[in-house]
Amino acid sequence: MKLAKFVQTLLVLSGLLLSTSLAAQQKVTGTVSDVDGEPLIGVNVLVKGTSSGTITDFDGSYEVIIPEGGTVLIFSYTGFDNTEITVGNQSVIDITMEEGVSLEEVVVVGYSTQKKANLTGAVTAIGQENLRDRPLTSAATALQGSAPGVFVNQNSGQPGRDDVLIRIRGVGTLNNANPLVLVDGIEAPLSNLNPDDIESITVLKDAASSAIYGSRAANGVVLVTTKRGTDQEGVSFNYNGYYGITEAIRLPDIVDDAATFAELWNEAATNFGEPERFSAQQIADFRANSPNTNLFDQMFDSAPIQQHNFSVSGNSNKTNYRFSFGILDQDGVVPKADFQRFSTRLNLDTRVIDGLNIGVNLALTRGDRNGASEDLSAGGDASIIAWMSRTMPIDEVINSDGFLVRPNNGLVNGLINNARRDFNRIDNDILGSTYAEYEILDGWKVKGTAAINYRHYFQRFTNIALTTADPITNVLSTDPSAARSASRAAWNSLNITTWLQTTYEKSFGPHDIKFLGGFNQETSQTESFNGSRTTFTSNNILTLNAGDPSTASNSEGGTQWALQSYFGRFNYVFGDKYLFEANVRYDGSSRFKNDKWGVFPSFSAGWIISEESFFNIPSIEFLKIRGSWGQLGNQNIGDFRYARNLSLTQNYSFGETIAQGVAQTSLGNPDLRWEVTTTTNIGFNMHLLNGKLQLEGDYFTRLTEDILFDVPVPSITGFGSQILNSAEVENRGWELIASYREKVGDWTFSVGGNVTNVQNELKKLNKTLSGDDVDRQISQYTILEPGAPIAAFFGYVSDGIFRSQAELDAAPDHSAINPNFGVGDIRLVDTNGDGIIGPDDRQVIGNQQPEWVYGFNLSVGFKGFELSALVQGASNYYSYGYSHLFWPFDNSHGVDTRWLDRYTPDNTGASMPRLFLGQGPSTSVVNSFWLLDRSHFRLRNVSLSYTFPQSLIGSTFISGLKVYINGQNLATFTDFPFFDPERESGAQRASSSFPNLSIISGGVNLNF
Amino acid sequence: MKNLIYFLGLTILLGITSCSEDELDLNPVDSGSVDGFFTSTSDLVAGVNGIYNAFTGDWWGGAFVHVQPHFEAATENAIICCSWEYQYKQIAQGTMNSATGGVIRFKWDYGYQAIFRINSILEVLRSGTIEDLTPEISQQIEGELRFLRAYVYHHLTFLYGDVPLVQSVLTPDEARSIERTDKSTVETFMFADLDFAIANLNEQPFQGEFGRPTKVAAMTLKGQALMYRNQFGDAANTLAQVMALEGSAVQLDSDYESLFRGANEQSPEIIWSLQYVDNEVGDGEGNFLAAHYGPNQLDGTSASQGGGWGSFQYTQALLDEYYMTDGLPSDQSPLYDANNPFANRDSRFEGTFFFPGTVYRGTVLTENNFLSNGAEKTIKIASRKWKTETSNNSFSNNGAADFVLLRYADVLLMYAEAINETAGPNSEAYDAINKVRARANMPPIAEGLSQDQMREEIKHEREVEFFLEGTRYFDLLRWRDAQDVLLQVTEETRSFDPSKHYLWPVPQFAIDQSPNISQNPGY
Repeated sequence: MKLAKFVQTLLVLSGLLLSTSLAAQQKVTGTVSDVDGEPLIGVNVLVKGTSSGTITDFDGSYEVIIPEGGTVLIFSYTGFDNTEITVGNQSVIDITMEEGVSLEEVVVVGYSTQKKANLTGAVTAIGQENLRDRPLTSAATALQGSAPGVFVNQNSGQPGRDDVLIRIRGVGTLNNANPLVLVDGIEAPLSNLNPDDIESITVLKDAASSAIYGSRAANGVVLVTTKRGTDQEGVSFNYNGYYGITEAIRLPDIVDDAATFAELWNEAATNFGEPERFSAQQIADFRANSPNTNLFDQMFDSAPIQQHNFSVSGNSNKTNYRFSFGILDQDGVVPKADFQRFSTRLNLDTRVIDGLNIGVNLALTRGDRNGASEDLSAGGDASIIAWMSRTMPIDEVINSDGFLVRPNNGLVNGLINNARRDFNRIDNDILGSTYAEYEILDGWKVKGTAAINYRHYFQRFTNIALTTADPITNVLSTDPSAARSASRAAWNSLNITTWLQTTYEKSFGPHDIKFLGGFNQETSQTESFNGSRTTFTSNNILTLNAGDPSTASNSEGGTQWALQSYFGRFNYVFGDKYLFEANVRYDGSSRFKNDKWGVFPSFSAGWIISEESFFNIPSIEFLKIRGSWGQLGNQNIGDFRYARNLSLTQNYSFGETIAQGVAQTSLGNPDLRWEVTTTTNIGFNMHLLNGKLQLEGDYFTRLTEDILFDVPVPSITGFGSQILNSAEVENRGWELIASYREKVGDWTFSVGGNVTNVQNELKKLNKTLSGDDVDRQISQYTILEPGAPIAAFFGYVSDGIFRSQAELDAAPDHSAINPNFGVGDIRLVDTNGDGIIGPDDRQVIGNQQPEWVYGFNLSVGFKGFELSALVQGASNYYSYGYSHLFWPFDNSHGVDTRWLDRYTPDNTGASMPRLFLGQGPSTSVVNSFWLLDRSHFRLRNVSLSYTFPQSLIGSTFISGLKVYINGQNLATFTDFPFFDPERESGAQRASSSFPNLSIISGGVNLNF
Repeated sequence: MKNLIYFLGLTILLGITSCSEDELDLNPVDSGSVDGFFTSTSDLVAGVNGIYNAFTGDWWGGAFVHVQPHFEAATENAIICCSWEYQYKQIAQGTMNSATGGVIRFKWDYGYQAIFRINSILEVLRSGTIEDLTPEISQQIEGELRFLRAYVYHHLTFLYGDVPLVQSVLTPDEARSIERTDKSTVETFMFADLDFAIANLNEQPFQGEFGRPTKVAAMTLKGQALMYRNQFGDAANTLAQVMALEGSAVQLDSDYESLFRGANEQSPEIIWSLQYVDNEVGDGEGNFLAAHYGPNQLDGTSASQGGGWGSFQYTQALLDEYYMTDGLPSDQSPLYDANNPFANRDSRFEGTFFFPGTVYRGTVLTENNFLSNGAEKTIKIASRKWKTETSNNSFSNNGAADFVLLRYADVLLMYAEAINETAGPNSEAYDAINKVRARANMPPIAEGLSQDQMREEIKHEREVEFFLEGTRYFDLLRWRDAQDVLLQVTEETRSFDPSKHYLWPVPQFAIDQSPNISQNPGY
């Protein structure tokens, strides 16, 4: 740990504290409580008609300076009715606030904010309640289970490489389905944002709310707003930190008894007439004296995580500010892996003169990640999990002298791989923006913003030479210098965004109107450079310069894109009950050749029925219905896909001399144009029982047309595919959120839940087909076929195992699949009833996208204590467990303990088929036996916190103190075998998954 | 205040005018574009060079001539360790089907990728847009292109039977409606290409660059193509033309082993080979054969420099084919020593294999160096072919040895066979086969053999001479011997159905995309 840095920062901040003194002026003090007398924390106290004000502290008390001319205080608090009090001569004002329907709550929307009550689109806002008191390493995980319609999947638990995937309302494209993520309006990844800096996250889900982002909004938009200084004069310091222990949630249970392992191997070989590998003598030796190596046990361990955040925020004169500094320090649950992130941010706004505001957001982030490889779950050589499962239990990995032993009968000693390789990556990111906003006339503002997002990393790979022992003779030998290698990669990306927007707001009589118009331009350049050498004389000096110059190799990569956009929005509200909004965006993208520009409109309307005089249901305080329609684009297709690419590296050596070779590697298509998503949404918001029960529901359809798809072309063209605007996908679904809160005496309760159902259906794939051509594309395990969900698993249905010869004889003919089908193998179903198992028996056997996504939260408070829990889940989606540990001994991996219950003549009721070496009849075709249900239900977060009352800390410099303990991912309920169900089944094998982590932590939140 | 408004107005104006739509016209940064690339002969030659990539390809992605020695696993001589290695095991066991993938798809996909590249460069060549192209160079390049195209169709028709005949660049729509062309029509086209190549290629490769086809290569390939189609008379005539050049353009090398190990790659015996260089020099231009074969657990380094997985277990049947130096099989020869079973065998045994006691990279190998995918081998031998003594050919695609596709010993043995099939076992047949045996220090074959006996001698000779060059599988198919030979294997379960397995299934993917393409019988 960088303890020195920690202490240093503490000292600096203490220094800041001591040198700050608050000016004492004429003031009003008091406390704010609810009808039960409980203090309310964080109530806004504003002097009406001025910008002076404050918020109540942890004891419900406040202190506000009344400026010249101020006469009335306004108290406002989420979920409570606003209260106005005339100050008069009073210097102490204690008030009681009543709970009510909060209609004033404001949420961030595209380029602006909007009163929640007036929203007509489908928008979900996540506030502090989902962000605080949790050991979050990435902000994206805060969305997990909290936002309906949002499916968040954490692919990996590797420190610094969470690989979080966000899907909003299903998958609407065959291309990149990532939502647009904007941090204070600038496109930036969530991964390098300090979660402690986040004020709120808004998710824009339908076309009405996101059309203002036009061409990039088809997958939804995530708007992150960072914390800023308040408008109230004063300063507040905060320390927020935790320390915790991380542990892998689930690890494979491999057969690590060497004798059993050897017997299983022999059995697998014998089953198919192959020679046994281990003699009886060898097996007896294993039984008597074997290392029984299990690297999962040896290499995984618990590891600490800690995070410390310091911030100072406030307002001075006409400037508000928030400065923060944060450290995340996470050790790996495997050797070598760790991650540190240092982040600092300054958000500053200042009023230069009346009407003119300027400001700056600046965030600097540094990440430092280590490991034996960049992505420890990348599969193949890079996967630490594969190293472990390829290290055989029969092999000794470290001898009694402490030397690593070369694999004997196995091919891999995972400890050697781990020891040889080192990876380090340093990220330095700058996200900054400046703006100037001027109010030209009352209600008419112009704002210009310029922003850069500069990201850079430098990564180092090295392989050292090791001294290892011979497995038989124990003789030591050292790798030659040629075994040492080093490579470096530098990468940077610069996005520049500039935009100019103007807004006009006017209220006259019952009419409220609002215009927004603007122009936006974004350019992006990415460059990378790689170099490597081998043959170093020493393990200690692995700078490229020390390598053999004749082995030097280098390469370059890079790309660029640009986007220009015009956008506009019109809002109209009549009498606070009829709401109307229209958006339009006109976008041009460099990613298209002949057809660059597209128009994306949207319209939405809402009706607050509860405002109507005829509405007279006393238990319903608020009822709004709303509907929207709009179109969005998707240009997330990669750069220059329209071009007929000429690869310049199709080289060939004549004799020993390399000659340059070129070849066309894509068919290209200059007529590519935008994918267009049309979204229709209807929804309602309802508040009942004095606002204690709130309901919100939405139904949506989302049809994406002209999806860019690599339409397969016959390989006799020389190519596998050509990109065309071709496919159509529809997502239909609904979302429901309910929350209820209650207060009995000193106790507070709240429960909430959200559930989303999305039906995903591919409508059309290959528009080049006609007539009775079958429109489908079968990949190795999946199919794209109209009527089925995107990339559904496709194969044979298995209904069990052949448990007797009679059963096999009576079954449909399996021999066309594999003539070696025998008793103990998987039985396939003759779905078309022709008596033969053949390709026509294949069908869709499972989908990859969850149909149901849900989350529930519960919170109980008593005096200063609060216990809260969040559970989250997803269901009806699958992964295909192929190869590696899923199949016994496949690709030189071991075997897991599920296979102890395999079919043998003595165990005919087994759950697994008879053993085979890697691949056998049971694996010869894709079938549902290997389909793994990813449905899971997870206790994502539990926390218990205590907020110290003012009576205990009032005499100290501390103005607020909260301590908490927290558990993340403490329990998971799933049928998924031995790896984490969140692991994606996509390009990489599920079995190389780096496990997700559970974290138990304790933290402090201190205000002074 | 006025100043402020001017300032803002100016800023806005500047902001808007600086945003020109030209900013949306961008060009790729790290790759090229076909449009406008081919303007000079050197561009054209780069396009020709790019074709070879379809032959060499990449490791797991595939190539037209992929891990060719793996075909030995589909004969009686080797058992492949792993069903995941490009699906050769499925071929060996007769379990392949149209969805099998691996090499069954590689040959189709990369064959047609090569044909596209060839046809597209032919179109550039004939378009007249290359200003500095002389007629002589044009003919040589066309000869090279058509040689390569013939090589592809030679394999495609042999393995799949009827295949679509693609003579020019096809649009996707044209390809979707294509049908298989009668095999004989494709073969006629192929022989026309070969005759053009023979007529237009020089004795020396284009630009003197070893690895490009020569006139002799074209004649040899034509001879092989005729042999594969049982046209022995024409084959004999064609091969005789090659043999007429013995001593000038071609000849047997005295050092058999050196032909396969990177050190003697331009021997006059080697007529055409795929070119590889050590990855460390060439960055992706090495072979991935070395990783599959050879001894392992070497020299005690964790990086296992020079080691291989040992994809094969070799069979007793293979060992028995290596007769003793007196020309007799081991069970008949007094030279056989059961305690030293590898001694006194045909010199090609040691030329082809390492075994305990032989030296590799300065290390005397022991029994511990012979594992197949981690399992101890029954017969402790490992490939010497394709393993170099120096390059860093551990488990990666950086083997430096060229892969031999056509060599003079094949010309001689094909000629012997062609003569035997047409004129019977005359002296020309004897001379040709004995020349190959003499190089291996093996005695001449017995005099007075019948045609059938001679045929068996030639088959035996080919088996031993070309082991680990991926030749025998093709020989077994063309001789229609597979259904007998393959089933002799006892080390694993084999099946071979002569009614279908003499042709491969057309990959399902090809049929899915072009519904008019039919499947071969039985699949």
